[in-house]
Amino acid sequence: MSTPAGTNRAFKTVYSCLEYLAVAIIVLIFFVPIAWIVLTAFKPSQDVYTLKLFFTPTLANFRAIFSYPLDFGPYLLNSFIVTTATLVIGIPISLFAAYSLSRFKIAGKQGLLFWILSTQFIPPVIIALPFFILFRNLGLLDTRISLIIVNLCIIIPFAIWLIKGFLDGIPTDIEEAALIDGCSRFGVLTRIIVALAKPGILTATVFCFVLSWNEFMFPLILSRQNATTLPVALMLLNAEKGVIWEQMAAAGIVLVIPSVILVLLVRKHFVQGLTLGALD
Amino acid sequence: MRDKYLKYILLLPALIVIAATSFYPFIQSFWISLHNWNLMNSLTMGPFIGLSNYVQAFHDSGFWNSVKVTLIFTGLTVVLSLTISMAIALLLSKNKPYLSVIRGLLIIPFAMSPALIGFSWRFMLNPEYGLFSKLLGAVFPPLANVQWLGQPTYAMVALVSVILWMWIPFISLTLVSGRMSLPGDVFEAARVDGASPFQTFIHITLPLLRPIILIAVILQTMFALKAFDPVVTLTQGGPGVSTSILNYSVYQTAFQFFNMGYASALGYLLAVILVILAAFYMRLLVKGEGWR
Repeated sequence: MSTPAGTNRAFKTVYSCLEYLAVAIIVLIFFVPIAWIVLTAFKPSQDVYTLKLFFTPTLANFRAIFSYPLDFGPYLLNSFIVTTATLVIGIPISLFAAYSLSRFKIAGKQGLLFWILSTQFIPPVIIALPFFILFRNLGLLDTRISLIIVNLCIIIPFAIWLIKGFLDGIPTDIEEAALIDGCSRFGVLTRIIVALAKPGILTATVFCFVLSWNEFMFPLILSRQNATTLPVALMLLNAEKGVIWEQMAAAGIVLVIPSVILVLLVRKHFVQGLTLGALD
Repeated sequence: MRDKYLKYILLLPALIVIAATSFYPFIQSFWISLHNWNLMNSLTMGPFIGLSNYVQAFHDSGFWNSVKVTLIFTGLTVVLSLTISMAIALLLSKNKPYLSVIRGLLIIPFAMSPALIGFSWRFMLNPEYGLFSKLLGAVFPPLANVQWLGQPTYAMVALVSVILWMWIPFISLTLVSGRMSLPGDVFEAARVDGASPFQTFIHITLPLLRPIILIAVILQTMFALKAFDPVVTLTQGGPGVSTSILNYSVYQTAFQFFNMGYASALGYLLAVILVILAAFYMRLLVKGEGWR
């Protein structure tokens, strides 16, 4: 049975049109909500409860969240300090462990890797409860230190997994040459590996930034006021008279901009990074 | 060789942190779960009551409700997410410049704060002025006046949709990277032999993608079972207890009712479910692929 060339071409055109349509729908579904949050953040309050697309944009909502009585400045600072400290401590620790797991024979390595991954299956709320009691006894509730400690626990298993995946893909001959030339093993790690695995380390850092920056449950439970981070501060806009949506949107934009920018910077390595560790 | 010691020294700090987050809380919460302890009445742990908290859980309809809600929520999320992501991955995994731009941008929802998305959904699902309600009402008239967060079924749909929106881009991109790394000549050969696109998908794409699909299922299950932020900001477990997944119900028992002993027991039961699930997935993974 032969198909006339004309019908075939028509079919192809219809098919590619449908394909464009499907891609357009995907884009709309994922970006309309984001666009709507952005629009709402710049809306004057009388337009928030309408579906207006055209309005006089205002920065009033951003001013409102950073001035009395909301004062989001300190919460932003808390988020920044907690996340930075977590990454500065957590990423080198993870890099060391990942290097050791990637390059050396270690007794019970399989079990160790399984254990590291399986910690990700422990529901965080189980970890939160004993930590809440521990930090209360130590007088560390509502401090940034307590949040840095729990964030380290969250990111380290992920970071080891990600970085190990990248290290496994790097051939060892450069390292061996450096070792023969008299470079110490630690020197190899800090000079050569850091340079070679830069994309992997950056990707892991960004991934951990997102996890730590958006972390909600632990600061909700472990902080009251002094150590409250930005995601938890969103709850303050959930007042008795209802949520002030335009301010929520403005705070939301301040919250997501850093992680969105960072993620876009490493997007090429991002997805491969997470799956590499488990494949191969 | 000094490497003999160095490899353990390098590993040690990370192992201490991981041990602190797995052994310590695991043992501690088990110990607490054997006691009757309400934080409102006393700052120190109450009397030892053995397994009573666990016995109580098995007779507690609230606990069984949470188990049911958790299973429905996780099942729906994993099945829908994987199906939709696979469709999106097939669409996007072609070498066209505009698709590469879309793939790059699709990582954005992953970076968004889940707590914020929960709140935003509440705003956009509002029947009076919400964008989603209005759009859905315009496209599907029967959905025009739905109180999305007022009815159990719709609230569950709303909650699942948040998780799907946040994770589908990530899962799709995972599958895209798997699909695009498959050798092109296999598909070329199938095309020459006259296989239909559907046959190619079932007999070539799916089997070749099996390991990466398995990883995507593991990740999606993990993310669904850990969902917490959107529950707090979107439904608060409601209406009633219809979206009170275990994670949230443990949180409520511990930090709103301050019943530490009982909450620990509930948390422990949740952990046991998760560990069994994890072991099951790991076995599948180890069977399929070499485990380094």
